[in-house]
Amino acid sequence: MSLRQKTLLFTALTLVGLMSILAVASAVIWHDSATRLEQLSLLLIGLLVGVLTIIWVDRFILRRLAQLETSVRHITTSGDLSARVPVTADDELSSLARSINNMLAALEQARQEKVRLLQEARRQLGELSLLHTASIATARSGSLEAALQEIAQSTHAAFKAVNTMVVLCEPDVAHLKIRASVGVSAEVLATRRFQPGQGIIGAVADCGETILIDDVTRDPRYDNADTRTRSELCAPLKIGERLIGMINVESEQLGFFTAADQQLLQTLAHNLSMIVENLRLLEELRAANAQLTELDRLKNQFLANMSHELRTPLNAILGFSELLGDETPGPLNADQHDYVQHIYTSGQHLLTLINDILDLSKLQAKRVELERRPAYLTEIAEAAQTFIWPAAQRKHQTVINDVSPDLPSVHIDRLRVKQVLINLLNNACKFTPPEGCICVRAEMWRDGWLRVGVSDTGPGIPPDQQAEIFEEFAQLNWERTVVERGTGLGLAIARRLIELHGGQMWVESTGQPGEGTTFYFTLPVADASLRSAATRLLVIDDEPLIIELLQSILLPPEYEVLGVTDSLYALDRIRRDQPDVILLDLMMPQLGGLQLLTALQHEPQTARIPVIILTAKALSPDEHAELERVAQAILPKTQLRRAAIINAIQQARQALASSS
Amino acid sequence: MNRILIVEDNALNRALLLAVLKPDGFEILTAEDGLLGVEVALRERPDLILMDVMLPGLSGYEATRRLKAHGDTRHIPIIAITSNTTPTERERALDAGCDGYIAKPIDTRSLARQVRLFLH
Repeated sequence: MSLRQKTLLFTALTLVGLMSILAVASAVIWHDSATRLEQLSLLLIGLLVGVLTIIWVDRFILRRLAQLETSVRHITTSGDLSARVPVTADDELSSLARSINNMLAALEQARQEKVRLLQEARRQLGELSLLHTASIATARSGSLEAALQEIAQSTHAAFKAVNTMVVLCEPDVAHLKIRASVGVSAEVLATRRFQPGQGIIGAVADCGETILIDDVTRDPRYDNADTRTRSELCAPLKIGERLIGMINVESEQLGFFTAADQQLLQTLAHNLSMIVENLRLLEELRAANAQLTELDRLKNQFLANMSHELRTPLNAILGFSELLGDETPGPLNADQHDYVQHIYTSGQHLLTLINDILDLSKLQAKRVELERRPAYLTEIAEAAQTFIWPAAQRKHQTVINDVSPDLPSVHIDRLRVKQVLINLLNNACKFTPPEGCICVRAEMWRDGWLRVGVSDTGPGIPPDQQAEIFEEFAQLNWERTVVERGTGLGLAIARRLIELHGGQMWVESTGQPGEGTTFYFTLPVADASLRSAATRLLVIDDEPLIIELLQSILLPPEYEVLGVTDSLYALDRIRRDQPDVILLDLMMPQLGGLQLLTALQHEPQTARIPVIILTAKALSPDEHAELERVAQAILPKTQLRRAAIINAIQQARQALASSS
Repeated sequence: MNRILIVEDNALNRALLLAVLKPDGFEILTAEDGLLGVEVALRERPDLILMDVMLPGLSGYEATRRLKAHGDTRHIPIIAITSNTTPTERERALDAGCDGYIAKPIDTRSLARQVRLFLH
């Protein structure tokens, strides 16, 4: 039973009750005076009043309430916030109805606002998504083509276009090429050519601004390429003021593109421009790099070939002029001798240049590998000194080797350091006047390093030129001396070689004449633990050629050959170095081989080192027997074959091992 | 009298080697390629061989290997003539069995000494 029915019933019952009381009351009060008719009419009046009351309550309150309730319920269930409840009369109920309507209006507005915001958010998301695709397209795809195609696809979908195109200027505005497209047939792609001024795209190329067309049929610029198209939007791709291309979208619907769409396409175009430019630069960079690598390879190949080619005639020049100079085919007069000397010197110079160029090229390409072993500087200095001795002698210069044999060994590539020393000594000789003095010395320098200095008594190098001299083909130009054109590549190479060892090279000179120049370089001291597994041979022979020969055929890492040409030093060296095998020449000035041998035998430390005797002449059986008693093996110098030497070494070691 | 075999394809280089060796009165034999060199060595059994490593056809290394493998020629000292452009050349020469080497451009005095050393 509804509220309304209950209220009516209650009201009716109340009225009936009231009337009953009234009737009873009237019967009691007027039980005599009133007639039955008067009583009945009183009852009827009461009944009438009651019915009227009920009708009024129902109509003005209950029914209106019910209507209100129905309306509101209807609205809530249907969700139709545009509907309103009826407003009748002008009292509390109507006030309530109006309030309800106001609330409904507010709700409706809120919902509309919500819908609007949601649409806006979706739109923005779509835009961001499109722009995001554009940015990451480059990262994902390796090439410009792929990136552009991906961007074209996303744009096509985002704008719901009927066709989309990305056109680039290759290389300028006069040459426009379609680089990516969606919805464009193959034939069009093949045949379509753009000219500035032709079509909408051409129009954008001309003016450099975005063009939006609601109805292409009404625009004279449209060139009717795609018959489906009704509206078009085209934005330029620019780097600064420079036009690099266009992005174009077309729709089948009239007036499809909005101002917001234009904004979006412009933003996209802006991003796209940067992408295109970056990718293009990247491709250019890659191509340039590949080209450089190839050029470098060709250069090295060329240099290797050239050096080989150049050596052959150089071989003849040097060889024959050397033979002539030595008067091998016959005596020469003074002039002839001079001329031949010039030929030989020039040949040497040429050879040095070729070797230096090849060396420098390898050093620059970082293709030089050092063969580092522990080595003694004294011995290297000796070898270098021997090398420049003839040139120094011609200029009556004194060459002093002040490298103490007591210095520790250094961890170096012997050949390369010798190269450096020879270069420095050569320069010293060249730039020092006759009767001058050249000196090589070495000393300990900071922790774990040795410093070597090559000084001369020449004119020195002015401080402002001291940095340049290490550069390739630097030219030195002093007032006092003969203008010597350039020091070539020597110092450039020397410094790099030292630096490869981890050391440094520098020059000290006051620039005052007579005070000379000193070149310093540092070398790392060899760690005691670096003692290699190689068989260490000490060759004691006054003939450097023998030492060199043995060094050239007994190579690291199996063998390490050190040589001593001065027998007086030999004993010291043996005591200090403790070589594994000694090769000893019998015939030596000052301390002879036999004497040395006797001295060795007397010390327990040195007595245990096997000795191989090198003999130049044939031995009588007695001499042979004598020697066999004191040494472990005998090797004639005529038998200096690799196999024979190795044999002798083995034999000597075995002999000593079995006898002890 | 000592006989020396020169295996060298370049005429100019041969001329130079000849010039270096002539004064010492050696008898000189020549061959212009590796194969010929091996043939001549086997046939003539020289006292010393100067072998250029860069030869057409059979390389100097291979020729050396063959001669060192053969009983008749094993004892003959072979001096390799290398072109000095790569560090591995000397190692290859020694591995092939050479007893010594000299690099181009040839230091004539050094060559003369080495020859005398091996031929004593």
